[in-house]
Amino acid sequence: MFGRDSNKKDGERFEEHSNEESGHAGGVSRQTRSSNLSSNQSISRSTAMIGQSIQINGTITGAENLVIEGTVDGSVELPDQDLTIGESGQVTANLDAKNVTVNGQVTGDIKGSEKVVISKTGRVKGNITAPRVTLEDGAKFKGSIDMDPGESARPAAKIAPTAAALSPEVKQEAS
Amino acid sequence: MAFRRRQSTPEKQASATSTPQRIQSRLLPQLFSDIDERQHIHVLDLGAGSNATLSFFGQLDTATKITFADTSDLCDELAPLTDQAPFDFIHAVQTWQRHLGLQPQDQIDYLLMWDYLHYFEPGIIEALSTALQPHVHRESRGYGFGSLHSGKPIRGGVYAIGDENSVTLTPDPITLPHAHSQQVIADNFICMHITRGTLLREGHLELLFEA
Repeated sequence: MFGRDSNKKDGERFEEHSNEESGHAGGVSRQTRSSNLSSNQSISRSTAMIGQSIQINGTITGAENLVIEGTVDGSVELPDQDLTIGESGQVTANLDAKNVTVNGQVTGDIKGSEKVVISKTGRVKGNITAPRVTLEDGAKFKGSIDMDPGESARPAAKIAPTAAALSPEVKQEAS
Repeated sequence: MAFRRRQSTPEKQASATSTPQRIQSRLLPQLFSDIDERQHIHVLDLGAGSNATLSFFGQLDTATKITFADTSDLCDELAPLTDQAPFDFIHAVQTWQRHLGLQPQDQIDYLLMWDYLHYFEPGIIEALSTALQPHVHRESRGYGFGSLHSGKPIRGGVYAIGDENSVTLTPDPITLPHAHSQQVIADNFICMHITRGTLLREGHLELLFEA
């Protein structure tokens, strides 16, 4: 677990295995969202947390969702999981996850295979690659955003002027 | 020197939460007239990240890369350069290159300048043009606002694309430090040339640029 490994030296790899028992140590915990699920389902939906006082240098990998409220320098690789940077989270790392939500500060590149959201409290300096990206009002972002929706996600029709933007003549024709 | 950092004042921060206004554009349709023909587009927005602009490009049937340069961070850094004599043009160009964060191979299809040129002295605008030159190709297009004349500053604010026909403006209470006419912009922003200028009802001189 992250908590037991938090004293490792820089560059050491932090691994999460899906068959580990849930629990927490130090400022790091894991929360299971539903106790009624089967064992595998329960583990796949569990969420680990790096607490505010925890500092990690190195690579984080794993097979469960992760919330970072502490400080991380290095990289985070959770390609099939959700990653959330909490409001107190300060991350200087490249991030790779299925869904990434940033409420805190990130310096580094972010790759989201499904979606990246920078909330109103989020601060990101780096490049984002994801099919869908949302910047909430108040979010601070500097860098590039690379969006390729892919064939399946692309809309059938290309953009068209909104109804409000159409001239009266055009609207009449349309009706 | 009247450089002002965007969103540096409480008033500015308060304005950022005000309701955006929609300004009908006459030139955006022309700016994007060939957008469906492009396989992959690269947009450089000199402003900070905007969800409205992001959403506009996100609905395209085209792979899109948008770079938000957040030029507001640069005002304080570039201001001292024009106070020095002689003006260190090379340093200004290098500062722009570093700040824009473009890769050497990046080619810009659409350049959104909004009101940002009015934050800088003409020499700094020329330095920006020089920094952008390697990233401009023959089909590059640009969009921004000019002043009707040097005594009439345009309205500052946070601009974004509303849709194909309009821009959104979140008003800004501070006055822009410069009011560059179309001629001043044309003389200094030389990596593109102005192909059309249209005066909008709100007093903005809308400018379309092509390489």
